[in-house]
Amino acid sequence: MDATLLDAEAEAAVLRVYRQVFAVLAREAGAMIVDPELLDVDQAILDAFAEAGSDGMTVEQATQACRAFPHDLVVRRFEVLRQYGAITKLVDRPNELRHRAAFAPYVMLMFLRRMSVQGGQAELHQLLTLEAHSVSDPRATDDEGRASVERLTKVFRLLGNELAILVSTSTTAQLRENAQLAWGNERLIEQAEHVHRIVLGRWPALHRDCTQLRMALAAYADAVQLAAGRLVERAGTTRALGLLPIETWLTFTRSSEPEVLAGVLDGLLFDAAAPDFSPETMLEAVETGRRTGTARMAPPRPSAETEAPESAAATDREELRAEAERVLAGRDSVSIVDVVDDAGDWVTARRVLAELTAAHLHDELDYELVWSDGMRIDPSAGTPWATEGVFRRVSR
Amino acid sequence: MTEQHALFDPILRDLSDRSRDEVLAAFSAVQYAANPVAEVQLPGLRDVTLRRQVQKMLTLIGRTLVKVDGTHWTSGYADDVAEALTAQGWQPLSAVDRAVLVLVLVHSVAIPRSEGILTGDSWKSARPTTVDELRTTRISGEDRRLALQRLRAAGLVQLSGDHSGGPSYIPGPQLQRLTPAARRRLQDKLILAAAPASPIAEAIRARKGITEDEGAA
Amino acid sequence: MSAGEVVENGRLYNALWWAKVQSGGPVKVPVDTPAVAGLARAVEPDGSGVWMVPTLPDGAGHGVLEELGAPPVAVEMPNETARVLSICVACCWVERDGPAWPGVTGTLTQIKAVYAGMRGRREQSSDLTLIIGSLRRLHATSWLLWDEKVGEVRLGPRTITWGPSQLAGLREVCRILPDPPAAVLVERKPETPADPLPAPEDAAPADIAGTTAPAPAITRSDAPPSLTSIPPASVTSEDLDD
Repeated sequence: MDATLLDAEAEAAVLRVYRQVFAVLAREAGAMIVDPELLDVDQAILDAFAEAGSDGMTVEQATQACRAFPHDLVVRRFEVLRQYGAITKLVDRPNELRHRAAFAPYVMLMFLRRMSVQGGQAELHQLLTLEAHSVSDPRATDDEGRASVERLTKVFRLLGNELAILVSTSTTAQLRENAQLAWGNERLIEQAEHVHRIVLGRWPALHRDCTQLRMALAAYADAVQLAAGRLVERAGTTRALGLLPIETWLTFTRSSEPEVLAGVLDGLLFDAAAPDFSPETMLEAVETGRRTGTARMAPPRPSAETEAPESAAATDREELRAEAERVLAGRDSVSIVDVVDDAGDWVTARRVLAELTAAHLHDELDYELVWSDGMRIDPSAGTPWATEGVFRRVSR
Repeated sequence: MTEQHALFDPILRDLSDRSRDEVLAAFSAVQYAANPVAEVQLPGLRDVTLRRQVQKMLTLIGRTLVKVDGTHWTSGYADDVAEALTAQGWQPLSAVDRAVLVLVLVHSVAIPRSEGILTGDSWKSARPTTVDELRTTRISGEDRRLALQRLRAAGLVQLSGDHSGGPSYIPGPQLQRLTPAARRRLQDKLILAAAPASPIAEAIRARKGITEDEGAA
Repeated sequence: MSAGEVVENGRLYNALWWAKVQSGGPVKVPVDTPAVAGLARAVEPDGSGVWMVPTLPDGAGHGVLEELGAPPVAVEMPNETARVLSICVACCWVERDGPAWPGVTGTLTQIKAVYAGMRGRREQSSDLTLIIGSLRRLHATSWLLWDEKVGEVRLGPRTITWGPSQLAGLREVCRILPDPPAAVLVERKPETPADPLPAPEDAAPADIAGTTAPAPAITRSDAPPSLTSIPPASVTSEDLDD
């Protein structure tokens, strides 16, 4: 009698936690959420409760604390969380307006977020660590050891089945989307084998359960290899790159020696730079570079779009900086008329002005080009007509 | 009467003047244009017979036609020639240049592939690699700057149009000269280097074993 | 070994050399290296080696790219680079009746002087940055052999492929450049501006509007007549029979 009652109470407690933790996944009472952004609202509400302290919060206070989100939305989520028992009245009486929040939904939320980012692999790693920890505990019993091995067997059977079914039934694209099932499996398997070794060492009688775990692990490893093989076979000539997680690439670029990076191109040949300079090109370049003075137009005010013929390379920040510093020659400001005159001819001046304009427009360079309305006219100058202005350093 | 060319004359001498011009134009376009050229633009590529002559010329100099996007052509090293030369230790691109190029390929191609945001199956990408992303390695700023300059001159990287965060780079047009086998080789080497213990790497090694056996048979 | 295999091996030999030259640029090898079909041999004057340089039949090469609208890989600072190459030709190609390769050694001082002379003004410290940048680019692509330590330059092996028609064009380039000897440092360029002021009616609207794109200072029609007056008979490439 007592025992039954205790069982019932324990069951109710378990259900209560279940209901609480799934509150964050409920759209309405009885329906799953369809918009992951709702989790942000839930988190904001639970965050607000954490800040509120032991006095709890009213719905109004919650909407005020979560004013970054639409008022009605916060009220609706509050109600859903309340229906699932994630939020309860501070004191259970009819006119109580203040509420408190349970901690379990918040923990669940954190797990969900991590699983959504890592696909559950990290959690699986943690689970394996916990299992290893518990079977290593001197107080652990053989029943606990068996339970641990059985849990792992089931996890790896599920993983292996999922992958094997994917390999045999899905398209390459679907398979690729699920490639995370194949990621990092080496460590997963190693961890599971570690648990297996501990259990078998402590309780040799559990060898039958351990064999089951070994088979599950082998099946999973096979499924992974099969999936990887099929993916690589059908990935074309560059698409298999997408089968590795981003983190792997970042680690590779950050931690590899230049020789290792360079080694990737072993066996490949590339063309050397081989520009052509025909006598015609050379003649034209010399002609335009000469100070001819014939038919020269006055320079109009360069616009932001000014593209001098040689500025293609000048977009390089350091080259622009070098050019700006050359023009400034240690000064903080220089007159554009002087710059134009120093350039000699308009073709050169135009190039210099284009680069100064680019330096002015460059986010990372602290220079500015300011035009004024004046105009210098000097028939003896290389560029007789020059718009006045200054090029100078700015501090940001 | 035109001067004979010791290497190409056996191919060119049997062609009519017009065919010769078209073959040479197509040959020059695939060899020297930075980007792949449209098949419709050149009779020497459009006409299968003439295209065969272009391929013959390329074969003589260790190159081969490479089709790009189904509509364009360029040229690249014949697989056996690249293999034979590199096996002799021939690699004119310095280690620093190659390392910087690989960094651009990882950031502009491999990572966007992992993010699932890059379509197609080439080494072309519009996703810029920033100087900051290149800075994360053990190459000095000056070495990196010079390497980028050289790589740009060779068309192996190019400036991306996006300068919002300072200069940034994308793979250059020369990457399109890689033959399908070379493209795959680059993919495989990159995966083997970045994740040697991954099941993908193992699958690559397994497949290579098969091809090597087939090659020997 | 069958006759077919010999041909095959000969082909592979050529193909490997051509691939070497395309991937590494012209390569310097011992003089006793056997000839490769289609690769010109630019022998170093001191006999220290021979450069292998690719040659192409008439009608092939970069020339066709412009009509196709399919440009080659862009050169950094293309005009500055072409100017510095021109100046080096003027300095190093002294016997202008003969081929450009190997020519004589020129100096940075000469280049700076001709550069300033071309610009029609005194030398400026900023010239050096542009000149050195161009020299390095041209050295890296074998158009020049530039020794930065001593400030000396020679024409690079690529210039061996310049045939009579190109050399005619280069003579014109040399003609309009100031003469390189030391005297050029103080010498004013012979050409003086015919009309230093633009016609007012051309200039005024652009300045008032302030937004009009710059008009080209030089028009294409200025191309010297000598380029178009080369007799067709001279348009051959006798440089291939090295």
